[in-house]
Amino acid sequence: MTNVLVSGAVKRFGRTRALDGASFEAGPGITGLLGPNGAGKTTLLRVLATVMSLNEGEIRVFGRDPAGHRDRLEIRRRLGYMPQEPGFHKNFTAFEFVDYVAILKEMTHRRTRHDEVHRVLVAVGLEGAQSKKIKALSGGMRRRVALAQALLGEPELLILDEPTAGLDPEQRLRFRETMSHLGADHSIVLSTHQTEDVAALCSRVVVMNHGRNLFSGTPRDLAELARGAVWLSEERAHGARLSYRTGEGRYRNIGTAPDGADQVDPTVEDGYLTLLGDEAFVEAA
Amino acid sequence: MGPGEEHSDQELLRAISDGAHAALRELYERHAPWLLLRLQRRSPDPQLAEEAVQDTFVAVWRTSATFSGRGEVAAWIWGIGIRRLIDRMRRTQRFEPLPEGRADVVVSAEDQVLLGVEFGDLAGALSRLSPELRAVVQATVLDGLTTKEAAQLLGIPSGTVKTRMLRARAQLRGELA
Amino acid sequence: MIWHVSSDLLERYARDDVDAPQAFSIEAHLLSCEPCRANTTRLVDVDLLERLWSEVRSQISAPPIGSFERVLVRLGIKDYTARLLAATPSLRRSWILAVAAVLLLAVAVADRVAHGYLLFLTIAPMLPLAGVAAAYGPGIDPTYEVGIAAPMRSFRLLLIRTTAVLATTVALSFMAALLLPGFDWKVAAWLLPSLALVTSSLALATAMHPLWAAGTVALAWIAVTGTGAFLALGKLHARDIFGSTMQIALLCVIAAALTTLMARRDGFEKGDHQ
Repeated sequence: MTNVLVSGAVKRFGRTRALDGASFEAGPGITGLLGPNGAGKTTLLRVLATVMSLNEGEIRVFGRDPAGHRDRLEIRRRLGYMPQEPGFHKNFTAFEFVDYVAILKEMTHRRTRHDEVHRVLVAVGLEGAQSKKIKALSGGMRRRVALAQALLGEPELLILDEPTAGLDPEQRLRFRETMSHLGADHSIVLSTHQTEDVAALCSRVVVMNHGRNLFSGTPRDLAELARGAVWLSEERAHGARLSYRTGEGRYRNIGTAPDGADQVDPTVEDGYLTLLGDEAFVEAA
Repeated sequence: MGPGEEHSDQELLRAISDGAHAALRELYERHAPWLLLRLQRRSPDPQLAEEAVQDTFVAVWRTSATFSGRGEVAAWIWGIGIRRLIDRMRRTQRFEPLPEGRADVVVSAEDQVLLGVEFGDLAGALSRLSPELRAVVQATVLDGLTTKEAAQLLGIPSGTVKTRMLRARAQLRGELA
Repeated sequence: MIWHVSSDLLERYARDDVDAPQAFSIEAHLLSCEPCRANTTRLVDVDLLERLWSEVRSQISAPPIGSFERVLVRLGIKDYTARLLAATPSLRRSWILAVAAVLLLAVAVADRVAHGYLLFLTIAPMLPLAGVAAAYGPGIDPTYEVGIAAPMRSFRLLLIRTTAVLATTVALSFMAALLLPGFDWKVAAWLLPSLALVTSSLALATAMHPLWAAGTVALAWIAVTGTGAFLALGKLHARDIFGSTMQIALLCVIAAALTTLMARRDGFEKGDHQ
């Protein structure tokens, strides 16, 4: 059962094309949207969240077209959106902010609304901090507040824009835990430029760059793209596209493997770097 | 607060002052049941007692820092609870006299001995007071209310509370002397 | 503690099946005996306790209702609408004080300068415009993006806020206008301009960024009053400029703006303002 279907999406901002014929599909479970900064991930997610419209192309969420006024309303009732940089009203506490969004989500009955606000704050582990002002919370906790508001009303579809950005490893682990609980009952689309998130969480992944698709499949399939192109060596391999020193002291190389090289199983990251091509290696070097 | 650790009521109050919801929940679990039972016995309407219990713990949350540290937390909670009940009663303007005159129940011999140890002849003397006199004794002595608060709880004028207390004292003194 | 309350006695107490001295005794005892208190827990209905706790929790977490919201609720506004209004930047005390200050300044100037009243008439209608522009929109309302994605109609939120800001500013302007020398038509001449500026700004906002819309309308107004001032340097009096002709013209503008606004209000739901 596909919840989201996008094909041939084009979105222009002035002269730039943020989306240039992108396609996307998501069903139950967690689908990752992977790509470097500026790939068009945020734009695509904004379009999915019905915050923006397409210039060209087709999009269906829950089988409905968001261009239609009534359909758009229906879609919005069933989705939760966590923007990349959520803004907060000054001086709001975590509870007050989520409560405010709950009102925007049409929860007008005070008691039920408060119970729901409490439920989502517990779900993200912020029960103890709900009375603290947002400006007094750490970056990781603010992200959790942003995630909490997306969970209000138990939406069928969750759209999360770079939810792990700026989190330290411990926070990222905790986030993954929360995600795997949620992934059981919700359809989740999350964007990231961290391959570890994809490897750990996603059942499907779409790779994007320059507003276009580069890949769509499972994380395993993505890793397999680099099969035979990853090997270890004692010294830096100068013929490789990328050669870096690992913690164990050997060098991990991606590129055209010389004969007899000590090949290793490729990771999702290897596949991703291979896919991005020279661009990625310029960045990574 | 770590799981599996037993915290005293005092410690819970301190945690509440720091904004820990879990501490209030723990305090609630320890004290809401007996508070509800005790307030129900003074309230003309069970719903008022329930609302008073709610108000009490909201008040505990807000004023936890004002606990002096002396005496039992339970007694402090009671002081808040009974006054919240009086507030509720005043708001709903109910001034019916409380149900009086329970038929005395046969107490087991063991209980009678134990109660006697706790209060001596006082138990007997108390049961011989008329219901109205007993009510003011309960309100002022047991519940710790002022004359004015007792008057509000019982729905009688303050002056009547005073005269009844005088009569009760006289009678008890006479019996116990 | 030399004795504890037996379970049997406690159950009877819970059923209200004990006499007064027993009750006294039990209650006094419970205040200082933790194990006996623990025994009362099972005597109270679990669901009842949960329900009461849920209410407690809701109350302690709930945002404290500010005095501003209380006033609104007293006026008959729903509590959740009042919450939305409380989050409007241009309804904050600081903003209102700023508006009041500007108005008082304009009044003071009107008193001392020839044709100073023209200044008041120019400034007063722009204040609600500024207030509305600062109440909603991308870049202004930090929760704009989340708000667009939410089902509640953004247009509704905009209307609620606009009405509140307009009401507040109009009230302040009215009070300031009463301070103007001479109790005459001047007291209300700024009202229609205020409404016209706000409605046309909203109508324009269906086609462009709200701040651009507000700016355009403000400039247009300044052009109008500037021309009027220029003409007044000649022989015309302020009354002639702001008199019935202009007021009627303004009514037409308001009507046109409202029609456009209602026809194009879906534009606010799209969120494509950049």
